[in-house]
Amino acid sequence: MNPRMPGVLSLALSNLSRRRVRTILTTLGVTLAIAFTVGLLSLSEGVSLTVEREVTKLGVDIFVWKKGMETVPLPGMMTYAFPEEYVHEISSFENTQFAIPALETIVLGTGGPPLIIEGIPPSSFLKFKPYARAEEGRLLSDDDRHALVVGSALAETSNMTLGASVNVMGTNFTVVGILSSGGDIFDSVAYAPLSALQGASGQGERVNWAMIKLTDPSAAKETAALIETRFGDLTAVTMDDALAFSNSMLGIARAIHLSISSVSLLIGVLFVFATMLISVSERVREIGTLRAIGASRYFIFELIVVESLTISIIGGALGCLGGYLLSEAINWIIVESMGVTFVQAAVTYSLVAIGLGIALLVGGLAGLYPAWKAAKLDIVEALRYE
Amino acid sequence: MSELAAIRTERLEKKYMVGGREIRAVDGVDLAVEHGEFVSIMGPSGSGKSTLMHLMGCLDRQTGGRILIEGVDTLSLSERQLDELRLRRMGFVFQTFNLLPTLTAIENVLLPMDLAGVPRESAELRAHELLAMVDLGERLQHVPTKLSVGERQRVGIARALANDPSFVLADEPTGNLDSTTAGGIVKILARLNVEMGKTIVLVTHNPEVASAARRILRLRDGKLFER
Repeated sequence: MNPRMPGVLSLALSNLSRRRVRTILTTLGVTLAIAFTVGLLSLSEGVSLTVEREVTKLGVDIFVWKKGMETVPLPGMMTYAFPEEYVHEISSFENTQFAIPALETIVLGTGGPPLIIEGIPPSSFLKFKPYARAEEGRLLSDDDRHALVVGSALAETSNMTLGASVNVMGTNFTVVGILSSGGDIFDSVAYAPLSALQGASGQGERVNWAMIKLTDPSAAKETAALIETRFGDLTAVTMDDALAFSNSMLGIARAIHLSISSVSLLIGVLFVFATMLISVSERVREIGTLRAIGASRYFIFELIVVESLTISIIGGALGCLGGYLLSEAINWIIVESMGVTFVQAAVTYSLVAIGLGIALLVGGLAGLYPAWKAAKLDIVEALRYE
Repeated sequence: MSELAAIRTERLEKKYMVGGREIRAVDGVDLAVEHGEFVSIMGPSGSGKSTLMHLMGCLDRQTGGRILIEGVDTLSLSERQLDELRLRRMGFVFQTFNLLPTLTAIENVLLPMDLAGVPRESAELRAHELLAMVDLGERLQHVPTKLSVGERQRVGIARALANDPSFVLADEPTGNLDSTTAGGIVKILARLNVEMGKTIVLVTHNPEVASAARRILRLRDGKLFER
C-alpha cells in the first residue's frame, strides 16, 4: 500500500471518510436538494423545448383568437368563439396566402383523459399539418361529416381503433383514420370536419381560432396589426410573438420552480453547514497541531472548504442523476395518467451544469463560515482544547 | 553567549488577565540556547514552562521583550513567515503526541514535507529513514490508534524531524508515558542531539527526564534560574 501524500485533498478525503455515516447522510441531503431542483427545472426545460419545436413546425405565420385569452395557442386552451366570417375576410387580405378557421372543443367524460377535438375544414388539414400521414385508415375528406381522425398517442391512450364511435356532446363521430406519430403535441388531438363539430357543439358558424399563412412572412407584424385594427375583438399573434411570449411565461415558471426548490437548497446548505461546523469543533486540536507544525491559516481554510465542496460536488452529481430519474418519473406520470406524450420533462446538459453549479454554491456557502472559524483559531488555545 | 544563538530571549514576558487579575506566566526571561545544545527547562505545573515553550516556538506572541531565532527578531516576521519558520526550522514534540488520527504513521511523517512542498519521492525516502531510525520501520501503515503510546511518540519525533529542522522543541514528551517507555524517548532525543547535532529544548517536570540534558534550567513563577 502506497502512503498518500497528505495534501489538502487527501487530508480532506481522509477526514470525510473518518465520519462515514455523517458524510453519507450530509451528501444525501445535498443529493435530495439538487435532485428536487433539477427535477423541477426539467419540467420547464421540457416545456420550453416542446413549445419551440411545435410552434416553429407549424406551416403558418399568424395565430388569431379572441381577445382576452392571452396565452400561447396550445390545444385545450381555446374557449371564446368569434364568427367564422372574420376568417373569410382575413383570407382576402393582400398578404394572406390562406387562412384556416378552427374550432376547438374539449370533450370530458369519455372515460379517458380529456379529449381535445380540433374542427378544421378537411381541405385545409394538410395546409396546417403538411407532414400528416394516416397510419391506419385515411385523412379527412370534404365528404366527411361526423368523422374523426385521431393522433397516434390519443389512439393509444384512449384505445381508439378504426370504426370506433365517439360521443361528442350527443353526436356520434366515427374514427376513420389514425395519424402516424409526429412526435408532437398534435399526437394527442383528434380532428373533425369544422362544420360537423360546429353543429355538434352548437357553435353555429363560429370558430375560436384561426391560422394564417402569409405570402410575405417578413411583414407578419404589419399584417397582424391590420387584423387587430379591423377586428377589435381579435388578437393576432405572430410566430415570433408566440415564441417570445412562451419564453417569458417559461421564465416565470422557471423562477417559480427555482423559488420552490430554493427551500430544499437552503436545507441542503444548512445540512452541510452544520456538518462542517461540528466537524471543525471536533477537530480543534488537530487544527492547532497542523498550525503548530507550520500549516498556514490559508491551508486550514482551504482544507475545510475543500471538504465542504467535496460533499456538495458528490451530492450534486448524484443529485443530477436523481433529478434525471425524477424527470423520468414525471414523464411516466404525464403519459400514464394524462395521456400526454408531447411534453417531456428534459434534463439537458445546461440543466446538469446548473445543478452542479448550484451544488458548488451550496458547498462553498456552507463551508465558508466553518472554514473561517477554523482558520482564525488561536494555535495555543487550539492545542490546549479538550 | 554569541549573537547568533539558536534561540535567544531578552526580558521575555507574557502576561494574562485572568478574572481581572494579572498573571505573569513568563516574567522577564533572558535565555540563550546555543546551536547543538540540549537544554531542559524544569518546573512544577503552572510555572509557565509551557508558555515559555509556546513563545520560543512562535506559537504565541509575547507581551514584552524579544525572541531572536538565529538572530532574527520574531516581532519583525509576518504570520506567514512565522508559519514557514515553524514548518522548516522547528520540530515540535507534544505531550499528547498530536498525530492526525486518520493518517497512517508514514502519512503523519509525510505531512510536514507535503506542506513544505518536498517532492513525493524524496519525501517518502526520508519518511522511511526517519521511521526506521525510531524503530518503526515495520509499522509504517498503522494508524495511531493501532500503535502503542510509546510508538505514537516515536512517530511524533519522526514527524518533528521531517523537514530537517535546526531545533526540536519537546513539551513534556514523556508526560503520558510509563518510565520505561519514557526512558526510550529520552534516549532518542539525546541521540538526535549527539548524532544529528539538533538543538533540543525539553520542557518537563520530571527531574529524571530533565537530567538527560547537559544544561538544566528551572522556571518558577515565570522566572528562569540557571542551576
